[in-house]
Amino acid sequence: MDIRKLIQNEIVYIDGGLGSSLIKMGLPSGMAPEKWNIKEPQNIVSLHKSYIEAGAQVLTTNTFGANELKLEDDEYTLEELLKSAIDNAKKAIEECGKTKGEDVFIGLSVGPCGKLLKPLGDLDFEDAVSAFSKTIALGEQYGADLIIIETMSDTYEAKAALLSAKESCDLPVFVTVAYDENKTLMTGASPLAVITLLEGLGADAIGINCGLGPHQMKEIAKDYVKYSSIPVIVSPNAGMPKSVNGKTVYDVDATEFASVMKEIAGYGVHGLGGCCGTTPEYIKATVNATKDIKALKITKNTDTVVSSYTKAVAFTNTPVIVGERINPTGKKKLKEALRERSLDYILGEAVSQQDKGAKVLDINVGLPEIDEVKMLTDVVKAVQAVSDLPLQLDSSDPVALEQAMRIYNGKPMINSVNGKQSSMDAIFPLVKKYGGVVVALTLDENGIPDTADERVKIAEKIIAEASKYGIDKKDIVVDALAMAVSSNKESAKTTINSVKMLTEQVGVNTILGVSNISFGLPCREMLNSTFLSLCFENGLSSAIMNPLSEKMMEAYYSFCALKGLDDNFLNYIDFASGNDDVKTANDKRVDMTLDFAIEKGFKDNAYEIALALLKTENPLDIINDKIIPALNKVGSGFEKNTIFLPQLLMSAEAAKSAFDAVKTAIVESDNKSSDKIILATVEGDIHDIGKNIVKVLLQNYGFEVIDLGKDVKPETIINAVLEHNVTLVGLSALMTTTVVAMEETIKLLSVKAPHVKTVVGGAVLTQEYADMIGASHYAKDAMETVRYAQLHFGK
Amino acid sequence: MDKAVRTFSVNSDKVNIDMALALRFLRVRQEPDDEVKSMLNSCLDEFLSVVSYKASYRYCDIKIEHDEITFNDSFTLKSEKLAKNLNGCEGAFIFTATTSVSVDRLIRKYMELQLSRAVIIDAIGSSAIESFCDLFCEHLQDTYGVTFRPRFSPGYGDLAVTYQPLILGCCDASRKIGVTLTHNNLMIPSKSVSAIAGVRPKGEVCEHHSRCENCEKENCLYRE
Repeated sequence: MDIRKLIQNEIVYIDGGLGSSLIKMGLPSGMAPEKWNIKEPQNIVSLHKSYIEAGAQVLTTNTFGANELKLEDDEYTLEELLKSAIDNAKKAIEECGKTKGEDVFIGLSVGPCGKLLKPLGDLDFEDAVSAFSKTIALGEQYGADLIIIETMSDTYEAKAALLSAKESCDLPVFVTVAYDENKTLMTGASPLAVITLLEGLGADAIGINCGLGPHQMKEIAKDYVKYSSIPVIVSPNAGMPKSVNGKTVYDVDATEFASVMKEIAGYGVHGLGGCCGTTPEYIKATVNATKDIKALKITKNTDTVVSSYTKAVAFTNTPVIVGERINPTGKKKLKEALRERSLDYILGEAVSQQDKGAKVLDINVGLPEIDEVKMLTDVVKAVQAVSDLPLQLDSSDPVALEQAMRIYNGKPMINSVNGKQSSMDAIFPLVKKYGGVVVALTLDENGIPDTADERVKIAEKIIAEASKYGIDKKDIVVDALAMAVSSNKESAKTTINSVKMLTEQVGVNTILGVSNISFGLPCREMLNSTFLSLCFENGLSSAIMNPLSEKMMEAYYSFCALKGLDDNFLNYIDFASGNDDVKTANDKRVDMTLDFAIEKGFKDNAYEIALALLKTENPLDIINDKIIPALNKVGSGFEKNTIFLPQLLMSAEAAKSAFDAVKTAIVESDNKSSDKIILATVEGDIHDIGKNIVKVLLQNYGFEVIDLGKDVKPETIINAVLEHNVTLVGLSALMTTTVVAMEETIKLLSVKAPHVKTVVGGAVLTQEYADMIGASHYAKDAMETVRYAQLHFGK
Repeated sequence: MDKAVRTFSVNSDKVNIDMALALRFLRVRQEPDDEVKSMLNSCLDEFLSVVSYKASYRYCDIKIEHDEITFNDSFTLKSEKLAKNLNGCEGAFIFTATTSVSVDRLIRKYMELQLSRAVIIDAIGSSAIESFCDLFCEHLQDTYGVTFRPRFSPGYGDLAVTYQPLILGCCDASRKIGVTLTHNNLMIPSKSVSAIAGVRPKGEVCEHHSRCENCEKENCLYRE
């Protein structure tokens, strides 16, 4: 019997709490439960047997923490623990006279690895994948029938585990996650975001376990059944623990548990089990209460949905705005930012598009002279650290796309596939493996057809080819291609007709890069915004456009308001009043001097005033006579304790934005500093806020900072010193425990690059400490580092 | 008392964040001017919109021999200072509390976009987790009808941070509230506290000095 088929059509019973039952059986507090697989196998076998007798068809092995990242000591190897766990389950099945893989299935329990993944934690995504893969491959080897990834509270870790299962075994994979009382994962994901991710990656069944009791799981269970297209599993705790006569009991008993589970089964849930506090008694009661219920047929969710690590965006009635600004085509500043690897600019674009109403962000970093594979993954990681919007990964290089899809936290949009066989052969396997909603361009080997009929035909061909891979129509969004109306007066009509036919006849979602339509004509926004309204009216589901364009957003908000898509006109009113705010704020900006704006930390004003000054003054004069003196005033105020850290930083940011304005008028060569400083937070330390403060101030004072980040190995620092020919290194450490790494770094520097001076800082450091570890200088704060750097470079 | 791991959470409006402490973390030693004040307020609003206070805890029986304290007969910590702190206690609560990963995400975001906000939100977070711990300890004392000794955290005095896996493991912090450790035993989410609070009979007066008075690091930048 195939468990996949079974759970598709019938209710399947999964066992209940393991760890909590073992504690009752005498598992010593503090001992890893997995060790009992070897130390007390008879207890594990007997518990499994009780669950089989209670009616469980799926046993979860006692391997929740069996992960190379989590194993605390070397008493037993991972292999020994996994093999014994599975052998215990096999024995239980045999002793009950059941057939493994027919009556009862062994599910390899894979719990969280106990580490948080980067960027918030210190575990690399691929390291997590490799750790999970090891456990899962061994599980298959020793005879597990399926993989049960459970109690996940982070979408990224769930993705790593599921991807590992898909890559390292051929077994069915069930994934269940743990919600808290806010109905989100601990890392913030909504049910729809989790469902979207896990289904996209090809889980065979998904659901919820642990965290909550059966009552609190009801609403989430309903959401799961409603939004998912695959079987749903629900395994609650036996409520909350309480104390009775000094003993721990759970506040939902077996009878109450079973009656709620019956209700939950009625929603259409196909997998019923238990978690902490539940015992064979609970499972038996659940089986009895539900055995006469016929499993509801699983309904397919046909919505197109993409997700990030917390949010899901569905392509339903309201058109989806995809922000187009992170794409170097025709954008000088972005090209420059990419060449210089200056991510600040890109991140600023991400956030401002989100603020202006984008629901998805397109990310295209393709430039001939850069390594697109690395750049795309770097930018995706960086943007995901500042924005929770789903991303559209946009590249013509399938290798770059695959790497980005792999590390992306969520279910992305992919831009794009087209009707050429070679394109479909390259892209569809990726969409199948990693999940995604793919933009399908209506062009093929013969180019872009002139008629709507032919464009629709290409779309149908793409949809048919996708279905061979098992990729559903909902995961395709067709781009009917907006072509310059100036070169063919029919082109707008063709596009609009294509959108209409695709929507009405093919029933597929559509997308357009709308601004192409006006290419070669003046006042482009005028045409673009009208074109946008026409397309929306004919069914366009989403537009790749500039959300910073007021005209385009006016068209968008007006359309939504007029079509009844904006309840109480809230978005429309918000947009309209937002525009008024901007106007008044702009009016206020004039009456202020640049030095005042910098001293007070008015960032936006500083930019505007500096721009205005450029009309009458020489850029270098603005820097030397206005920006630097203002900075110095704030800096010395800080040193005299009349100005404090927040003000210092606000001023530094205002000065930076004034610099940015002035830079627009400076020839590049004038603007390069030769005074380079390396900064790093030392190995083992992840506190980088102090180092970042120093960085901002050094940059303000004209130094070029090579920022190596946090948790940086001594060798990496040496290599950077040699590569960039640097003579000053700044090291930061917050913890006493990591000052050791600082000392090692300094020692290594003194051997490999004795000419290099070191300046050190961080909460635990003192002058004595700095002397002891051989640093050239101790800086008690960021300004002192600036002063030392000035001294060092003879400024 | 039973030894189950339990969790506790409160809405953000229940925690009264000590802004004076946040300012001290920012090394602001006098009344901030209007621009800074308005920045502080907007950072506080944003912090409050994402923070989610959670704690997991477990009661443990303790046995003390010299500088070794054994919890629930299952693990032992070595620390003269902690043994002194727990002297006379038969039990202690071990807990981990956090402002959750959303706060880290917010700090990280502004670290890239606007450092001044990151620094201020970081300081608010550091103060908030202390305020939450105060409230949480009050709650435990009321619920169990006991009085606490001043709570004691790894990394403080001679209690090594290498004990963190045992302490977080004891209250199942990773599974229950999502607090994990780096390879160097630093907690993530970063605005988290793990601690041990010795239990004494209700009504007993324990001498609670301010945290700074208890600390031996006299040249600390943040000292009151």
